[in-house]
Amino acid sequence: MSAVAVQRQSVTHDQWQRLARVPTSPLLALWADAGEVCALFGDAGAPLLVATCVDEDGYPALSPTHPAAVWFERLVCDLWGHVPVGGIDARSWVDHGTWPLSRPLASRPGPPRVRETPEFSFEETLDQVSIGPVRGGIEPAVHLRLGVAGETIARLQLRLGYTHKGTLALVRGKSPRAAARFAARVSAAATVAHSLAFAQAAEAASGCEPPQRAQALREVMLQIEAVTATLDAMAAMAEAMGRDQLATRCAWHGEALRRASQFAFGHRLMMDCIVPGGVAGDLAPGGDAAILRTLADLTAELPALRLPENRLAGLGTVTAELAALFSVQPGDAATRAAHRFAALSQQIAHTRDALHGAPGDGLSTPMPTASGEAIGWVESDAGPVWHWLRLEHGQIEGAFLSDPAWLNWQLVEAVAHGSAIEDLQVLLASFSLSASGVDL
Amino acid sequence: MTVLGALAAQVLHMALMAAAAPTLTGLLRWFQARMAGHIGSSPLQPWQDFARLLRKQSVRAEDTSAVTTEAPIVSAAALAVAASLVPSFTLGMTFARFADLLVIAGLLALGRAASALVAMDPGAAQGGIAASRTLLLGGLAECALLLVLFALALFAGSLNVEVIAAMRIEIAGDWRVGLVFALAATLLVALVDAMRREMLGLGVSGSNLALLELADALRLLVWLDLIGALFLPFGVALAGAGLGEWAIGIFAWLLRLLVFVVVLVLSQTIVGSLGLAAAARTLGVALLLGMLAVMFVLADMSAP
Repeated sequence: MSAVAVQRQSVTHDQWQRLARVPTSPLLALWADAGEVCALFGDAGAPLLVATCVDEDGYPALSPTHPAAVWFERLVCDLWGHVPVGGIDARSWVDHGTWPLSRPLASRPGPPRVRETPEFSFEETLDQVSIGPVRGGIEPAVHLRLGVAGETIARLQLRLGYTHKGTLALVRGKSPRAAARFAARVSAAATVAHSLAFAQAAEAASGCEPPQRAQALREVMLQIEAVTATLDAMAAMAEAMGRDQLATRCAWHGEALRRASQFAFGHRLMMDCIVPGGVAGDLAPGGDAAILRTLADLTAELPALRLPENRLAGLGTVTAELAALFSVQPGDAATRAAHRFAALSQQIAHTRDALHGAPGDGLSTPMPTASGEAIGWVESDAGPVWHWLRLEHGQIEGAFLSDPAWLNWQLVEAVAHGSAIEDLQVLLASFSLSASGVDL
Repeated sequence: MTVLGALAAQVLHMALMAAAAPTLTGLLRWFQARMAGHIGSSPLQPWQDFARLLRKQSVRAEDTSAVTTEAPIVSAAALAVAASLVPSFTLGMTFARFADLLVIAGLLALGRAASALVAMDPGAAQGGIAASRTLLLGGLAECALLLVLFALALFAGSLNVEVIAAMRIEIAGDWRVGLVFALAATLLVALVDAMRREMLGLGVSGSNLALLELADALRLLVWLDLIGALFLPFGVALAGAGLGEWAIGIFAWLLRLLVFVVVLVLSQTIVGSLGLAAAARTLGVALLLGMLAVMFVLADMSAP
């Protein structure tokens, strides 16, 4: 985990387009802020924040060279009204025409859009299967449209935006402390990661340092969340493959850890336990013992939790090129499952280390009333969580909260072709997907 | 007296089958849940589900035809008739002479086709997929079943279940190769049928859904009874037997069902969910085994 105070580099449209043509580093996120459009390139080590101004026509689109930019451009168009010139997809994204106004984040919002959901486009020869947005059970609210040929998926398209919460508008004009509650609710499965990325961005932007113990406790929470998220993902995969016993065991351990978190931190998901400037409260007495006991149980059963990989091989293969475009690991569902399983024991070890090394007693420091711009970055189970904040005198002027689901959903769209309809559930489970994370 | 006895046996058999079908499904689900590490709902849950569904009104999609309301009745009726023909605890029931294996196979196919029509009627994609899978697997299963029937008919000289069962009881120790193959083929077909439950009832509700679920429950029971009667008719009372033999027959029948449930759930736990391709392959193997069964029975007959 890390936070970087960044200086955005304002470039002309020509430079922006030149940058877009050299796909040296993957695009992580794209958003708008005060008459400019910002793009975040690079990786955790060296993020590069570039901005270009928006004139009356719009701004040059990145989507022709960066497929990862398509959804972001649609979001920017829906929320700010900035048009990507030369963009490859002009459909709406989160605005399904049910809002009382359009372009809510623009300086001058427009009249409501005609009520319509973004259309799908399929070849005539394919049969279409619609699934969702309500899919029964506890599933992310997303409409999946399959173009199928027989029992094989030829194309998969998604329609998201059903859980739009207006987060970006809600955090504007608030202090980081007040806005942290909204950041924590971007995606429940990664609430700690989002809270932490948000807190780090706010701290870096205002130049304050949380106490050591708070930092250690943050690490504990982050690792516990990683373990539960991994267990959830494994349970989902096992269930999709009909391995009910395995699914139950994974879910059981996840539940045990959530109860331990409830006891230790006061909340099952540790929501709102991290605040800008530190943590909301200390570990309950005996909380560390409870967590360690649960982890010991899990470690003892760990070898039996490995998924059989026979149905996973070749499913949803992320090719090397695709992986480079989206800055993820290449491989198929079996690789992802193996990766997850290997990560689990590391996450457990990290939790233990963090618990043992929680020195000092300071829990939080007051946030200074400062101005600045910074990026907070946290690695969650599903991928990196990026938060960008711009503070003016202690108030949030601009923000963008980016969830790994942005990349994962696009990957699902890109790799679904060729799998059997029956394996769709396994395929979806092999990526950690959150609808709320992208609907903002 | 024998006529009355046969009638009493028939009535008792039908009552037992009606009572056993939902309970067997419930037991199967309960045991599956236990094996998965859940508490599981009561084995009597399907009864409560039926009661709940029958209380509800049937909601129909706008574009559905009469198929949605009529085909569930056809499906349930076909399976009910099949269930009344397959002997459970005794032979020599009133309907014995109609218990032709071809009739039973035809009734199973009819029930399957009617259920598939119900799924296709609303015109939604999911129902269509479920129907096409059902018919694909059904086609393979029926072929395998017909081959097995042919082998058994060659062996017993009749296609009547009761005649074959009576012969099996008489020469219980006779496990010639052809019969082993036939048993294996039937077991595979029943296994696939029990493990693959397509979502055929997505477009129907209320009493129509109840009928579809009843047909599903009956199909499982008919399969298990067929295997019991044709291959493992231990304890089945012969025609004209007394009450004591009936009691033994009922006990043996319940025991057989329990063993089948255990075998089904255990194989499911070992294999996981059965994919469509895997199911089709399994049925292909069943088809092959059925073919071998016919060949071996033929070879036995032509041997001096």
